Amino acid sequence: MPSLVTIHRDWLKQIPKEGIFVTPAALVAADAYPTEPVDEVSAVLSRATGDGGVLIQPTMLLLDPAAMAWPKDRWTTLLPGEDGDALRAAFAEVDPLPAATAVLGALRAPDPATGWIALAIEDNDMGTDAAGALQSTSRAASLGRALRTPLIVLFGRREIRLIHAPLKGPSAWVSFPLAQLVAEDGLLLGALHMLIGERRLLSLPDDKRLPALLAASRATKIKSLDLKGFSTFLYGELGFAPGINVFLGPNGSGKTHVLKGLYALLRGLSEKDDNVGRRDYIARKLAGVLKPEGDDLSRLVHWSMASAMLRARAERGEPAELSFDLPGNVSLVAEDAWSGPEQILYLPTREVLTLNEGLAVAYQTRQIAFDETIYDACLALEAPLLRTVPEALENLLPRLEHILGGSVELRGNRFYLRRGDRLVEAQLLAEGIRKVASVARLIANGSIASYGALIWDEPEGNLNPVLVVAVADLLVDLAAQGVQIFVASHDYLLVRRLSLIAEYKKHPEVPIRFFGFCPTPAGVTVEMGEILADLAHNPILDEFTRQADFEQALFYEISA
Amino acid sequence: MSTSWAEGKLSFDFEPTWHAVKWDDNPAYRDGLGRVTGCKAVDFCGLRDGALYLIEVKDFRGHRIENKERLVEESSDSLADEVAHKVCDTVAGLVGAHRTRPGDETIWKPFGEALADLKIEIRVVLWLEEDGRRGPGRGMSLADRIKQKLRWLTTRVILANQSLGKAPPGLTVRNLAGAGRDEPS
Repeated sequence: MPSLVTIHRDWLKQIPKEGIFVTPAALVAADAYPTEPVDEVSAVLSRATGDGGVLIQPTMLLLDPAAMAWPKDRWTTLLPGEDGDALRAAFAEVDPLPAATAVLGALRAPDPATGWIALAIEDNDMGTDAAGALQSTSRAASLGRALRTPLIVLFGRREIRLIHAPLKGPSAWVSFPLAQLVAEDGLLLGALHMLIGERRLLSLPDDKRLPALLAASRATKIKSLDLKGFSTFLYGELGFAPGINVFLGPNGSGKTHVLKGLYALLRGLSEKDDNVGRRDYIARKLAGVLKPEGDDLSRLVHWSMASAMLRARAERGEPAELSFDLPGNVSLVAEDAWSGPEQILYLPTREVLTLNEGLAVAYQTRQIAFDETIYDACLALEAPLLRTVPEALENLLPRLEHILGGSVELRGNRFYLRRGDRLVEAQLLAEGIRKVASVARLIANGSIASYGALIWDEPEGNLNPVLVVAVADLLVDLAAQGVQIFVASHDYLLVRRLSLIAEYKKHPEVPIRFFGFCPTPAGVTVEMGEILADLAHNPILDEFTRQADFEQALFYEISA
Repeated sequence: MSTSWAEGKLSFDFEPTWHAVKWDDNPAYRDGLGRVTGCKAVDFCGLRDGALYLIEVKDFRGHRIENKERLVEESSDSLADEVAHKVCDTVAGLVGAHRTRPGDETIWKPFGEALADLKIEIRVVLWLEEDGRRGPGRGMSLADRIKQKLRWLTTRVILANQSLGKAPPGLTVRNLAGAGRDEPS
């Protein structure tokens, strides 16, 4: 099979001077491109539209980075007034071709859900007249939405039209006249290189590039988790708030198991590992985060049951269901394109800022028995910083840095806090400060993203009460920016503050829900409420009440 | 002109901005719901700034020795239950007063209407005076206990006393002579 670069050069050579563009379908016919992926996606397209269409696989757009000449003055833009205005306002660029730059620059990495970088459709009728072009564009935009691939390259006889059709919001497009494209050798390569949006070519911040736009256009929350025979549960149905979900319960009631089960399932559904099937990937993740003996999932089945089930439902699409039983059978029912949050982060009870040093190597060589949430969190911490923090979250960083008294830096594989001219290694910081520093780093490097989910087990661990309150407010701020949050907590200050915010509707845009885990002889039951007072069983309040009564008894005993 | 009532060894002075009644002493209660065995009443009901206040007063000061056992039995749960019952009965009593005492319309109509008006917040205040300095956790946990029991009506519950402050606006609470001293046996 020829190399990708060769394919693209061959492809370019097939562009005749008359301006007829050769599409991937023609390449396949000329035996210059593998047929299977094209056949596969053509079939999807046919099912979606009832007529033909061709889709470029992501590899088709992996071009030679050396060629990148693309004079912007050769672009023509066809933005309808209203949509164009909306797009211009959204991107707020000063560039003469703001929408075009934004859309092109957005396209940087394959869509993680489908693996498709963009939808390409051959439409030879497009461009013969304005009405026909509009009809073609509209049809392509609908198709892109139906396939949840909001960037579409429409190949016509006279132009290539790039369409941006997000699930929410108006569509817009840019046209590239073929006559100009082919006038100069290498221009098309340059244009397509622009499509990939190399950072050095464009000044667009990350949150305006395609991965963020794609994720935002599909941002969905987890609606519910059903449990059957899992861990301490016989049956459980947890209906989540899109904002903050607070798990309360005594030790051993299964809060952490539920959080980790949810994490394994969501991570497995949102990630792809081509070497392992999705079912096995999730099963392995579940074993990795809960660490049953011998990675044996049957040990996670409730003692009185023969099998266990975890079923997650997102706001859109079909639920995903993982089951496993005592003999060791594992099954998964899930749509290919899971529509839940694409970025899921789990912060374990203990801080991880000082653990990353050497942990990844030690973990991969199986030298240590930490559970996989710690490993994943370390990897997330090490991710490079974003060039620009998304606007939605950027105002949180200065606040966190104020709490920390400095900013977090990674040097080599060790984290430091920069306080003025002084660098303090994370190892010398108080553990509570390290936790806050971790969150600052995770926001700065995009691991906590406004369209993702954050699972945080006992954030209060090792935090002084002042920091606990700051963390409670941070959770609210993150949720206000679209992060769906799941926390387990034993801390009265933390949960009470969240409840007061809910009771007094201080942040009506952040729905909060409380879950009380109650151990009973027949397994753990869960009660749900919008505020703490809704929970009949609140172990933290119960203990505070006992303490107050104890004080009262002591007080009068001594006085007598 | 302020309206003042004594409750035990405390004086409650309501500024003229209040529309307040000493509910448990009022004939509308005593001759009304108060005749039903087991029914209870909070000490004050008042309207101010678009909120309906139900104020229950507990003054446990100066009862240490002879009432020791009783006070220890006043655990947070039983106190929360008592307040919740009183609030429950008071709501019923106010509705009854509004419906059955047309002669006192200027007094009871505002209460009756406030109870039916979703824009009016219902705020429950437990005015709890105790000996010694108690941890702030006592106040929070007790208020949360009451909230649990009053969730059907309101979640606006607060615990107040002279040392914590937190009196509703326009209400001044002060000690009367002999306040805080043990009762003669």
